[in-house]
Amino acid sequence: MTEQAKGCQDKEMTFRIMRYDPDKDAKPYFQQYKIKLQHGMTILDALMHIKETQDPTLSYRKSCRMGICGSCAMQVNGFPRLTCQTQVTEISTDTIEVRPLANYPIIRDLVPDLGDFMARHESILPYIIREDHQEQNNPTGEYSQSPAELEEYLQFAYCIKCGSCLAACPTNATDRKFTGPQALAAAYRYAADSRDGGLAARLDTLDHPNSLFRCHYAGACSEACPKGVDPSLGIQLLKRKLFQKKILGRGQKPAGMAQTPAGIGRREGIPQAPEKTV
Amino acid sequence: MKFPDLKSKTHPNFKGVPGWVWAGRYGIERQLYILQRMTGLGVLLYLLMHLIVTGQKLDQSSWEFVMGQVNQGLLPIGEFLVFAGAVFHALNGIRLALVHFGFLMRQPGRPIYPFTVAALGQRWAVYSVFIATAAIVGYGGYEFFIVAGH
Amino acid sequence: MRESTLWLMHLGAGAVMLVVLGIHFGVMHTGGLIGIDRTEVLTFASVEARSGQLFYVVVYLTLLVVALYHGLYGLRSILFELSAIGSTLRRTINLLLVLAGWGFFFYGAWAILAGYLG
Repeated sequence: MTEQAKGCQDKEMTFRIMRYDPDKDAKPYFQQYKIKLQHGMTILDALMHIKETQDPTLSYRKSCRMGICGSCAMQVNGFPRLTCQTQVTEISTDTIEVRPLANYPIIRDLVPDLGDFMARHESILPYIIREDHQEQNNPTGEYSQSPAELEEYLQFAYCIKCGSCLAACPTNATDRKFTGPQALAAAYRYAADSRDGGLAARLDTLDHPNSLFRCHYAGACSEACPKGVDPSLGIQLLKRKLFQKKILGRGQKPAGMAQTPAGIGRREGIPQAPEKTV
Repeated sequence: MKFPDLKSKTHPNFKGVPGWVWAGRYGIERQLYILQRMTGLGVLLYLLMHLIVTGQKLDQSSWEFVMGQVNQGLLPIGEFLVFAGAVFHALNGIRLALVHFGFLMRQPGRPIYPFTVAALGQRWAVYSVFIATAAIVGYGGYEFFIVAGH
Repeated sequence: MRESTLWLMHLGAGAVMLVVLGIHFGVMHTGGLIGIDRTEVLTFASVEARSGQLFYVVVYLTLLVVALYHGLYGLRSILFELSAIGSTLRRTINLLLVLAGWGFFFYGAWAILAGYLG
């Protein structure tokens, strides 16, 4: 263990945590806990430590503990972060304030209600839309897509729906009907996918007074995103795409089927794909 | 039999209008968002008052009376602040109009850790807005305060 | 009208304002650069002289239209974002802003044209 790590080992930290029980409390309040810092401790580790050793009533949401599931996003010292990926030592204050994500109703303590958030994501039709339903339902091959076409949307496909971007967005601070940066960036993810032809179907949601044009490029969503998705970039590119379609009539023609290379057989020892079961 | 209401009770946790104003630890674009909004509202309010005032230009005595009124106390300073706000709003508006169509910024790529944001690609435009605003407002200030002696 | 059309007109009005407001500011605030005396620019004689020139009438009428649209659309955006408002309240806000816009337009257009014609 390094000298620096030894120094962290016994340091006492104060956690100021927002508490709220809808059955008992009229409004949220803060409760303080003191814990001894351990080497490599994340904010989520600290919350689990508090729950295990001091207060079993503390509620928070978590699952994977490695920045994949997006469950544990919270406001740490006023900034939305994935608590499983935030080391306590990254935060320079001796008292760390943990609140539930802003701009979502609180169900209990640090647990936000993500119901509306998911509904907004659904509203932009987050799937490939094409007219060849027969091929989509019973695929005979793969749709063609070049690596360059993949990179146009790949960044936006990394979203883990943690909700941090809505907690950072100033429009979401007041407008509860705003589609939000996550769903708008997801709309761009599909609009930019060369296999998709569904921008027109998404216009009802996007070209609405509480949607795409309520983004004023404050850029806070991109700073808060823990996965490098950069929603504000996606939203601006979506505006460009929408006007290309509306003004220039440049709609996207979905990619066709990839040609199977001729004269290539299956290598020995590689099994056939299993039969479809559904 | 009456089923219990399964919809959970919640506490609204929206930041509200203070969430527009307080930009916290976010970057410069977030601070410019609220500055753009405040200067826009200020200039709109001035525009409507300005229309009423300049409507008096048809008659010399009315015009000289309102000009006397608007030159009292701190009102000329307020007028100059509106000018400064309008210049900033216009120059920042050019940056925003370009950004809204995806120009000036880094284009999408593979997110490789440590992540960066496309906004960094247009920081030069942010600084250009500051420099151009300072130059125009500076010269306007010279005319307003030194030449005209307000 | 779709939101995208209204928003694009907002940007278009902003672009036109850069020109016409630029002329207005050029005369009123940085006129020294083009030989206009700042101390004279607001006298009644100077205002009356500009009111009689077709160039300024066109500039100020254009400025009136684009500034009102750009400003009131901006205000509408802020009002729409203030809360979770329903379609009835949205329509009411639209109606009030359109009425205010036409009211200020007629007042401003009257002042500009009366100065030119009279």
